[in-house]
Amino acid sequence: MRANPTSADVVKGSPPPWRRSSLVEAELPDNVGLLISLRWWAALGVIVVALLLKPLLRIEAPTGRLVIVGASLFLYNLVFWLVRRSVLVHAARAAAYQRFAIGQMALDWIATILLIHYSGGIESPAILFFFFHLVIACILFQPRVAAGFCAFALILVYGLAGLEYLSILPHYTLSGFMDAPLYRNGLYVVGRLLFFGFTAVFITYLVTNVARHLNKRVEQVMDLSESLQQATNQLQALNRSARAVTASLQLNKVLNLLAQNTAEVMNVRACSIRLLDPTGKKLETLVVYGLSQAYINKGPILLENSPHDRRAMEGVVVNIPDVSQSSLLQYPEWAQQEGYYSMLSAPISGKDQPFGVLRAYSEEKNHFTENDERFLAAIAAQGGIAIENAMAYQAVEELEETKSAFVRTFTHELRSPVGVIHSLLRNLTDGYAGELTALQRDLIERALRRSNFLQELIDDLLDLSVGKLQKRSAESLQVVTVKEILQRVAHRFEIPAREKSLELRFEDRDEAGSRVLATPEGLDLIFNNLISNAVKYTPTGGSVSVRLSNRDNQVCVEVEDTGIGIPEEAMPHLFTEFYRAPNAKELQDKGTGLGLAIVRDTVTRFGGSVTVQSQAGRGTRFEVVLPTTEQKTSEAA
Amino acid sequence: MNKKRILLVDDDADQRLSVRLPLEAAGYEVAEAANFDQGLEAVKRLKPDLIVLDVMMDTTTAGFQFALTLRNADAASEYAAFKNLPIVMLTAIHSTTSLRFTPDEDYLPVQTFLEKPVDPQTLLATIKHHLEG
Repeated sequence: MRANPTSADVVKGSPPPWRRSSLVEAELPDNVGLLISLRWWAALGVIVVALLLKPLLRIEAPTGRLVIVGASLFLYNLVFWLVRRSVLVHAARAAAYQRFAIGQMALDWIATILLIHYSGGIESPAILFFFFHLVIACILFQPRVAAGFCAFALILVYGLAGLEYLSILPHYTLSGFMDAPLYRNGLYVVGRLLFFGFTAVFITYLVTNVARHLNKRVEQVMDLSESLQQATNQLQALNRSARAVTASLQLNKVLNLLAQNTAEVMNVRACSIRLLDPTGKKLETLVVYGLSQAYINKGPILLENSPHDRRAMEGVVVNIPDVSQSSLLQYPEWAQQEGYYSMLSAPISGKDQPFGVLRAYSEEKNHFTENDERFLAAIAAQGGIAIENAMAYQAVEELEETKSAFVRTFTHELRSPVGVIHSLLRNLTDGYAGELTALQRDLIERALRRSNFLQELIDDLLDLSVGKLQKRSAESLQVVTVKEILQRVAHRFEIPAREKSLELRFEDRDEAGSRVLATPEGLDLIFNNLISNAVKYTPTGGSVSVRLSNRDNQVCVEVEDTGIGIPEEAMPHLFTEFYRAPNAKELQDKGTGLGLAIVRDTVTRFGGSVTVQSQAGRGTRFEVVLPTTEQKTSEAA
Repeated sequence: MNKKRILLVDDDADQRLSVRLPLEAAGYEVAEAANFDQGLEAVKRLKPDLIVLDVMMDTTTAGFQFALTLRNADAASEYAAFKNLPIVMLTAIHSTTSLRFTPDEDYLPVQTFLEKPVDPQTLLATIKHHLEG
C-alpha cells in the first residue's frame, strides 16, 4: 500500500489537448475572409496603377502584362470568394481549411513576383510588398508555415533576380523611373538581395514571436474563462442537486436523487452511496446508479480490506486514476469487469463525522481532476446533511409508528377483559344470576356505566392509533362514494335522534355521487363521530342537519346542530386528544375527548380538512372537505 | 320437547360463562369447548344445532379457520354433516376493522357477526332467528 494514497493517486488537471494549437486555426476563416476583401482592392490597385503609369507619370511599363496580373488577381479572388463558403462547410476539419488558405497565399505570392517581374525585377519598388505579405503569413499561420512562406519569398525573389541577371528571363525596365538599369550590377543585386533576405527573415522571426505570445495570452484567457464557465456550471449543478435532495425528507428518495444527480453533474455513468453499518466495520450499499446487480452483490465492503474506503471514512477525498494500478481497492477486478477504470470517493459527513462514502465511477482512466475532487466533496457534504435530516425524520416517524402500534396492542389487550366484565355484569342486571336488591342493582349499574365508558375510551384509542398507523400507507386507500357511507351513518342515528325528539335531516345536494380516495371505515368513523356529537350535545326538541354537496370538485359534508355550542376559549383545543369543552363535560360526564382528534386525523389522512363554526348556546357547524377523485385526476393531468 | 344444543367455542372461561347463563335461562342445552381442537371434537361428538364461535383463540384467526374447516368439508370428510351448521361469530375486532369481516358467502360463510361485548338480548334474538326463523 502506498503511504499517501491521495497525493499518489491524484492526477493533475490538464485541459483537453485538442484545444492547444487550434486558436490560430479557429480564427483562420475570419482572416481568410479579410484577405479576400483586401484582395479586391489589391487587384483594383494593380490595374489602376498600371494604366496610370504612362499617362500620369510618363513611365514606360508593360501595361498589358501588369493589367493581366491585376485581372488574374481579380479572377482567382472571385473563385475563392465563391468557394469560400462551401470549403468552410465541407472542410470541417481545420487542416483542410488551412490548406485552402495556404493555397491562396501561394497564389498571391506568385502574383506578387509577376508584378515585381513586370515592374523592373530587382529594381521594382513592388518588392517591398513581400514584407506585408510575410506579416500576414506570420499572423495567419503556425510559425512553421510562416517560415516556409519566408523561404518561398526568398526563392522567388532570389530566383527572379538570378534569372534576370543571367538573362534567362527578360528584364522589363521602367524607363522614366529607372533609366539606367541596375539588374546586372552584381554589387547592387547582391546588396539588395542581402538586405531583402535579412529583413524578410527578421520580420518573420519578430512577427511570429509576437503573434505566438499574443496567442498564448489569448489561450490563457480562454482557459480561464473556460474553467470559470465550468465552475459556474458545476455550482449551478450543485445548487440544483442540493435543492432536489433537500426538498424531500423520504430517505429513499433523497438517496436516489443524490446518486443520480451526482452521476449527472460529475458527468459519469455510475455512482454509489454506502453508509457505515451499526458495527462500524462494514459499508452497506444503500443506493447505486448505473451499476449492475452482480457488481453490487460482489461482496461486503469491509473497511479493513478496503483502504480507499477507510481513507474516505477518515474524511479524505480519494482519487483512484487507474483501478488496475491501484492497491487501494478491495475488489479491483470487479470494477474493471464492470468497465470502470477510475474512481473518486468522498466522505459523506453529518454534523459529527463521516458516516458513509459517495463514489463516482468513470469508464476512462485519469478521469477525475482536482476540481472534481473538490466538487464531489461538496456534493457529499450537502448530501450528508440531507441524508441525516431524512434519517432523523424517518426515526421520528418510526417512533411514532412504534408508539401507535404499542397503543393499539395495549388497547386490544384491554378490550377483551373489559368486554368480559361488561358481559358478566349484564348477566347480573338481566337477572340471569337471580334477583338483585335495589342497592345491588344500583351498584352494578354504576360499575356497568364505568365499564361502558372504559370500553368507549378503548375503542376511540384504537381508532386513533389505527389512523396514525395507516397515515403512511396511502396505498390502502380506495375509491369510495361518500353518499353511501354518509347515508348509512345518518340512518344509524335515526333512532337515537327520535328518542331525544330531535329532527335529523339529511340533505343530499350531490347529484354526481362524488367519490373520494379514502377507506369506508375511515369515512364511517368521521361521520359517526360528528353526527354522534351533534345528537349528544343538542337538547331535546332541537335539530341536526347533515348536508352533502360538491363544490369545485371537492366534496363537502356539513353537520349542523342547534346544540349547546362551543365556548370560544375551547375552540383552539377542540381537536386535541382528551380535551373536552367545559360545557360538554357539564352536560355529559362521560366522553373520551378523542372523537374530534380521530376526525381530524382521519380527514387529514384522506387529504381533506375539517373546520368548525360555533356559537355557545346557539349551535355548531362542522364542515369536512375532501378532494374528489376527479380533482386528483385533473391535477395529475 | 327436545332441547336445542348450542356449542360455545371460546378460550376465555369467563366469556363462556357470560354467554352460557342467558342461553341456559332461555332453555338451550349448552356445551363448551376451549380451543380449536376441542371445538372440532365436540362438534363430532355432540352434534350441536348451532355454534357460538370466538375469532381469536390460540391464534388471532383460529375462529375463521374453525368456520372454514366446517364450511369447506367435502362429502368424504368427517365434518360433511356439519357443513351447513349455523355459526354466530363473536369478535373483539373493533368496528374500524369489522366492516372488512362482515359475512361474505365467498370468503367466510358464517351467519352473523356480533361484536363483543355482546348484549345478552341481542345474542338470544340472533340465535333464535337462526334456529327457528
